[in-house]
Amino acid sequence: MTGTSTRSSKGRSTAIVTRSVRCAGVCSPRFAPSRGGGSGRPRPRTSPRRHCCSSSSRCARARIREPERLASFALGICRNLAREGARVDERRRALLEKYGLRALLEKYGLTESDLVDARGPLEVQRSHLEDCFSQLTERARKVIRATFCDEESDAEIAAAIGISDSNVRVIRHRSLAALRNCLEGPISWVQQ
Amino acid sequence: MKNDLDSAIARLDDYVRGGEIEPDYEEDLFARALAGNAPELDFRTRLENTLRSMAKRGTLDLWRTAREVEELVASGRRVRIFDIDLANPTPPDLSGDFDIFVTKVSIDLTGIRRCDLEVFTLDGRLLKKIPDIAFDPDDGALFLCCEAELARVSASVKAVSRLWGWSEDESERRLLAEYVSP
Repeated sequence: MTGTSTRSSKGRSTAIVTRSVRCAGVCSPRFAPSRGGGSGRPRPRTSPRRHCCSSSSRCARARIREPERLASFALGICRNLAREGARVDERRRALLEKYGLRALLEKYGLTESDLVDARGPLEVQRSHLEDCFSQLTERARKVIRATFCDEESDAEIAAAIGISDSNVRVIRHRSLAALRNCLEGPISWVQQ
Repeated sequence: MKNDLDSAIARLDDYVRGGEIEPDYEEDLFARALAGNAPELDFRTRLENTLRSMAKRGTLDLWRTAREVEELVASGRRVRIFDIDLANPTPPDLSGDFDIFVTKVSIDLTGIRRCDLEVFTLDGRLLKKIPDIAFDPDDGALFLCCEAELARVSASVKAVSRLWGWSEDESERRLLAEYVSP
């Protein structure tokens, strides 16, 4: 993983996200251009270990071009670490090194045995989400769909709906809270 | 309804969408994820995975037009269509195997700009409200599509459904149909 990927429309390469994961612990030798407010210029090459994210602000500045891909990837890494580690400690250690996450464990006083084996389902129940999603307004449904399924930027969503970027953000936050609240309870039909 | 998890979900959203975040946020997120203490990450991942799979299956949007239903049928998925008779309701046939259940509600939608559906318990308590129903007025019907499992759950519940239509200028709301599950 050299972190030299270019942006693709749908299928993203793991090189991009791997770079960010390194940033979370041990910084990548090459930073991606910052997003939103940054100059967009590639950051200079640095020594990967020496520039470990002791300065977390550096880490924040060095966020990847496509951070929306990061969340699920991070969880996937943690799950894989736990699962692989449960089988073979050596493989767990190799994964920790590969993704530069050992520094984080040390910083927060965690050991490899603290890694949880998150074997829970990677999806919510479809019928439940369908029930909850249908209770959102049309505008909220559009924002959620465009964000998660169509991978559109806030600017693209805002232009399509005819609202401001900040409104897209507010609608998404409210919709996520509504979905979280709805999914925590029983499916609406059985709330008798 | 706002709680700590909702705040964490919102902060994570800002982070992954490139908004403003605190300097230490990224490191803290990963550390908590490693320790299995990042419920917002878990929620977002599971939500995203499910939304994507449902969009692919064609069941993310509950209400479809006739043309979209045709596309759904043509996609090769096992689709069962139930033409509901509002005047003489009968229970839907939910036996056997199918993936997607489509309820066709034949109704005159002339002059209607927007529809909402409200579902009540038999004693009058609001169970759910589905706003902004998608439809094509030329269809002369609404098409309610759902996963087989949701169809079975909803059919097992005695409820009163009221379909409301808003006039073109949204100044007037009128009851288009009422359906009491048999």
